[in-house]
Amino acid sequence: MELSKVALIGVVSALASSLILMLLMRVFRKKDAQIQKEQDDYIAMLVHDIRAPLSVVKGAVDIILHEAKNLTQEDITKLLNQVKDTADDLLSLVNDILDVSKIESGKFEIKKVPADLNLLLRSVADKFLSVSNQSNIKIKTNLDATLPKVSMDADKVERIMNNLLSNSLKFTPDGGEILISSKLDGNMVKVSIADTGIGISDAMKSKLFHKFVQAGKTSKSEGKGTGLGLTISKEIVELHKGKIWIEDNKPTGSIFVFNLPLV
Amino acid sequence: MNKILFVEDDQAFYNLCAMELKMKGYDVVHVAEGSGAVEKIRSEKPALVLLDIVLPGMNGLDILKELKEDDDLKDIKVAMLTNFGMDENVNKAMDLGANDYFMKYNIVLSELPDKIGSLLGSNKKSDVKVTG
Repeated sequence: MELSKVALIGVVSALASSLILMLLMRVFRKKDAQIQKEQDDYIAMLVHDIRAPLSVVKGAVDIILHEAKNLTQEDITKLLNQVKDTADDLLSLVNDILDVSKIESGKFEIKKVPADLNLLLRSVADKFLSVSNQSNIKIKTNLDATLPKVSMDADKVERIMNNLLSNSLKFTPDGGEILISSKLDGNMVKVSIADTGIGISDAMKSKLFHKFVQAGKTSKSEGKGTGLGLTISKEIVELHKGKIWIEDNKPTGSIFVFNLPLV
Repeated sequence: MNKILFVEDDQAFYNLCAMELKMKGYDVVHVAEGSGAVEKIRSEKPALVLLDIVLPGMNGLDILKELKEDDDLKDIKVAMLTNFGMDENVNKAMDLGANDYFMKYNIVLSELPDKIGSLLGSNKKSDVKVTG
């Protein structure tokens, strides 16, 4: 039973990678020649990042298939969980590339309904607690209790929060802190995610929302994300008629801020 | 017991390789960042270094170059283990003195201990051609 699950996940992962490559061809076609080199380098890095989770899936399956007699049930469960988590990473990658493809063709849409933004922020913070606890990073919230309902696409705003929070976790050293805030600001609501991470240079701040740019690399960021998350977040905010930007967090770290109109 | 030092920033992939190598009796030491890898190799004196290319701090090809230019470290065997398979990288690594070049997504992990065993028993370089 377990082996058949592994085989299925392996097949799905292989299909996912084929889909990713197909989507990549769509996302990167018809580009200005002068940025071709930058895009070629980016595609090489994306292919590398796609191979990374596939290597883990293949490796785990191979060990289960060939070393079964040397493995305990606990080892096998650990390996299967690794395969599942890695397949989830691949799925996120597929979704991000598909969304960028939709953005490129003007087909990325939102559906706004009045929703409780604070509830969404708390829920996202809770979801990341197990990950942050592993790195001893505290996630705190400071939410404006007077906030009325906000007209928004809650699923898409959750995507923004997932992207921003996972970025903050990647670039915040163990023992750091992340503060999620909401605040009424005239007829807008302002949301910020402040971390005590490595910070972002002024030169990089202006480029970071472009789809070919990644902030950098740390040992915690390896194999996670493609640099597409911020492009997608910016598009979602702008479809809501809001803005997204980056500020410095003193003495160290970054604050990602976005605002949304209440109505 | 032969000691393998693996410079690898993908914790999940490292765990799999370490599991396989330890089952076959190897002692495995992990270095998760490029910066500091050369000094760790100097202090650990492994029989073989497994070396990724894309690493935070310092890339694997620069680490390889530094190892091969150091009289105390140049004889330690090095096998590249990476997902960057472009000819340019393979040729550069082999020119710098790598003993083999494995692709993570291509390698059968259960065969990795035997491949390392062959490298440790021989001074010959691999004639495997990797592309991609």
